[in-house]
Amino acid sequence: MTSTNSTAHPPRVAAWLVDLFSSDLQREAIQGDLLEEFSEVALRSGFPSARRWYWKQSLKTAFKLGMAGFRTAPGLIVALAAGGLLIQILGFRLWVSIIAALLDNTRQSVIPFYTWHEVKTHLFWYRNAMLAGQILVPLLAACMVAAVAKGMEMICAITLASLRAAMVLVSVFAALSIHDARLPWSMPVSVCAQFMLILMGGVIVREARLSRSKIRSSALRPS
Amino acid sequence: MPRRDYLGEFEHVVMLALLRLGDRAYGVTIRQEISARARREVSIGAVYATLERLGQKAYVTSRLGGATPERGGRSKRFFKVTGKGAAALVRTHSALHDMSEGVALVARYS
Repeated sequence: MTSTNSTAHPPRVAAWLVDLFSSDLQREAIQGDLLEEFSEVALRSGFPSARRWYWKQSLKTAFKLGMAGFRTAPGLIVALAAGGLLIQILGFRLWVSIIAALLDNTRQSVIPFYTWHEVKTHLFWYRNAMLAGQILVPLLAACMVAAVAKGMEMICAITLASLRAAMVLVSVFAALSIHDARLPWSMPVSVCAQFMLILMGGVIVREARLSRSKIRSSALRPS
Repeated sequence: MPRRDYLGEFEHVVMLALLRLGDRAYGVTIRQEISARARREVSIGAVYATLERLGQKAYVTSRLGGATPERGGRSKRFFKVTGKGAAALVRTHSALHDMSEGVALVARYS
């Protein structure tokens, strides 16, 4: 039978998704249970059905574990996410000040005027530094929040990303309603990018903790 | 009136599944028992989220079983109802029984 050959292993991405949301205590048992039932479904209905079953179960499991995690300490999670939002806003302001100071510092006191070439160079560095800040600051803020929220990294990252997206959308729509302008085309892209960067921050910290915990548990297991 | 904890609907179902399964109660068997008896498809995540909540209330305890090859060398986690959990189950059960007494549910709504 082809369904139970040696290559019949469950989808790795789905298994990884479950790992992201399960606690250290539950992880091994949940992955084992999913694998056991996956093998049963593969024997009964074939490998493609088993893969579909595994994806469905993994998505539902990640969602349920995420919701359960949020329900255990909703106040703490929202407070951490709000702290992350503050870090992000203040962090970006600090980044802008540092970049502006670095670019202007030596120039302004010696030569008060720029040549056209210097203006272009200045703008090039300024724009790229802003772009780097827009990438690095949300990522670092999410990493900091996830580092504090031990065991709830992904829930905190999702809450922070949702708060950030909601804040940006509300402020943009408020500004548009006052000035009667059109929504800038880059707006949805920017919101999605920030959302993904914050999630990535949560994933980085969670992955680091997961690998440490896997190394620990494999060291403890009798050979 | 003293505050007493009652079980939620799904907590109630999971606790009954644990009692039915006895020493064989772990994620897969609990899910299959609920599916077979209650004709209700639930995810492993829903079962574990509920078991974790019940564990925090000290209604269930768990222990690790041995690792098996069909599980990729991963251990099973077996669950058991505690005395406190059994008391909460009886309390919930009698509350439901008292509430439904004299109401002809089957005749009226089936």
